[in-house]
Amino acid sequence: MSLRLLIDVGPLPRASAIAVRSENGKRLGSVSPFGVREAQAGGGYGFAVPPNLVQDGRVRIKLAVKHYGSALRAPSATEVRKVSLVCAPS
Amino acid sequence: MGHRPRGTSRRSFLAATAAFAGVSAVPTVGRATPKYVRYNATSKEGAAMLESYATAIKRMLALDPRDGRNWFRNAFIHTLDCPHMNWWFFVWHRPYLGYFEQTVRELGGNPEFAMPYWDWSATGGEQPGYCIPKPMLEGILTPIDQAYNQYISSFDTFYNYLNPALEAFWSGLSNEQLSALDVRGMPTLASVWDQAKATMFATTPYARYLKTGNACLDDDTQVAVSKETVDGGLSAPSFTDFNSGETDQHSQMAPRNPLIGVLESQPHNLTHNNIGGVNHVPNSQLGFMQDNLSPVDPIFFLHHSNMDRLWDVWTRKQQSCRLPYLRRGASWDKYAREKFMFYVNSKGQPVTQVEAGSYVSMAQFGYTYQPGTGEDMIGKCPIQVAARAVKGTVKNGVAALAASPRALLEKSNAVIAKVTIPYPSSPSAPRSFAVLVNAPGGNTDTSAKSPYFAGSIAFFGFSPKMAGMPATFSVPIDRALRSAQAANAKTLTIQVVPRSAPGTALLRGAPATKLQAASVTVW
Repeated sequence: MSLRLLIDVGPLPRASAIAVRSENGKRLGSVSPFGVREAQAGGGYGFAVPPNLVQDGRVRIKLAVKHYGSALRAPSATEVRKVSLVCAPS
Repeated sequence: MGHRPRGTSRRSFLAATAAFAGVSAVPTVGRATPKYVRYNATSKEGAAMLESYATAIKRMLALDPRDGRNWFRNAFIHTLDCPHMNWWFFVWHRPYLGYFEQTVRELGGNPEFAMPYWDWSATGGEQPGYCIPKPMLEGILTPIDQAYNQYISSFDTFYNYLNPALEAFWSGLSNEQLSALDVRGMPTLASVWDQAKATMFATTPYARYLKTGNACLDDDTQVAVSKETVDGGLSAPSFTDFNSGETDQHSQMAPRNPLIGVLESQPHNLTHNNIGGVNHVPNSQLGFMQDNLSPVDPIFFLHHSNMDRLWDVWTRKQQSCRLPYLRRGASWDKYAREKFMFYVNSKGQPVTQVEAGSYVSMAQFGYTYQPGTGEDMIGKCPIQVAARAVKGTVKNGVAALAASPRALLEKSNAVIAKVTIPYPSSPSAPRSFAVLVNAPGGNTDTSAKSPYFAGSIAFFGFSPKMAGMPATFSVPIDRALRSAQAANAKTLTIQVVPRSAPGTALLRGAPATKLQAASVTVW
């Protein structure tokens, strides 16, 4: 059994990324489009979820937009459109 | 659960390029005896190859820019034609690298040359895999070297050097090529230069962010290239899951299915961006690797050699599991007939073999890979397959689907049911279930002899954290469908019933399974 996180993003500013972290800061991955055209197209990014991230039947994550010279900030609703959790046999 | 025995060896497959023209046949990947070996860049053989690579780069830099093999002209092939975020990502980069490799072989003075790969996931070597191989930090193998300066000291220098040759090239483009460029958002050469200046070009000091003294991928990228992430990408059970989404043309993004394949979205993207300095330097100082002039940086080809290697690993994993590794039918035709019209061969001539289907096999270029990270995934077989499903309506534990058995069987090579049930709620709850198709009310036979039996599913172990969470299983149901078809059934129902072990009867007194969702998909 495995869990996957699907993050559907919209257009992102050039050379920025979305850091995906657990509640206690463990790195789960990054959404980092390659190229400007790709960053403008948006898309769905999948990540494996470690089993120990499930607490009380819930998965809690933190998303933050990273860009050089700027403080971390929360993504806007157009930057992160949807987050889904998928359960599948492995 | 979930693993099947190792299957046929890689060399036992037909050495035939897929026959895609005019047919909707099931394609195969050929495996002719390889003449060339792509070594790990950190191996002794890989290091020797990098010396030949350096020799070839020196010659390619010196070539007249009207020659398509010129170093920067070659990079512009990528700028003008590379697909990303769609299902042609892997198959476009294979010939781009393959023809480039032949050119390096020709110009580097090494008839045995094959492009080494950078195994960024490797552990246990002299240095971690996530650090750039040392030879790639020195001399002409890094674009910050003075050898590049006469061409990229400023954007104007670059433009004045290359534009006359590109104007001549552009004037010779076919309408089909111009149409593809239009789709790409590059209707004129001026528009290409505008984009190159705005986001792709870098001057010599900033041409690559990672350099000696700072040669390792950052923490985020280390996660992206880790074996754990790569194994996740290699676990993809189907072409659809492995690749990024389908589009109508390779220069088009925004696929209907917007999911980007794990290997493209993670190790590919983050490595490109980190080497280019994303999140580490201002936009004005970003290097070539972070955008579509990335082949100006010689590390590009080692990076994509590894990406191509992982595609090969995944293909062999699928073959070992007897699972599809390509699309089929009309979808395959569409994929295979897409034209890649900008490659240049080792003589500097346009490549005439332009259809994508020609390149799903590595036999075209006669190479193989020295084994690297991911080989252990071969034989690890998924049980779930991707689905474009017909969803059922669940009532009283029975799913009714608006699809006839006959229609499903006629339109497919295989029919897969996806059923969602809750994870066991206690250690004593049933963990093994039978999937039944069109079973009548009152049926208690869940054995494999039953005409309604489609297959067994089972949970492995019990986890309190997973209790009650939905789990989706995929089960081939062709056999049971044929029984239903023989019975002239017009509708389709699916049930999941608990039993004590595969092949045994329904558990007496067992609670009804809470079937949460069911759907069918066809291959």
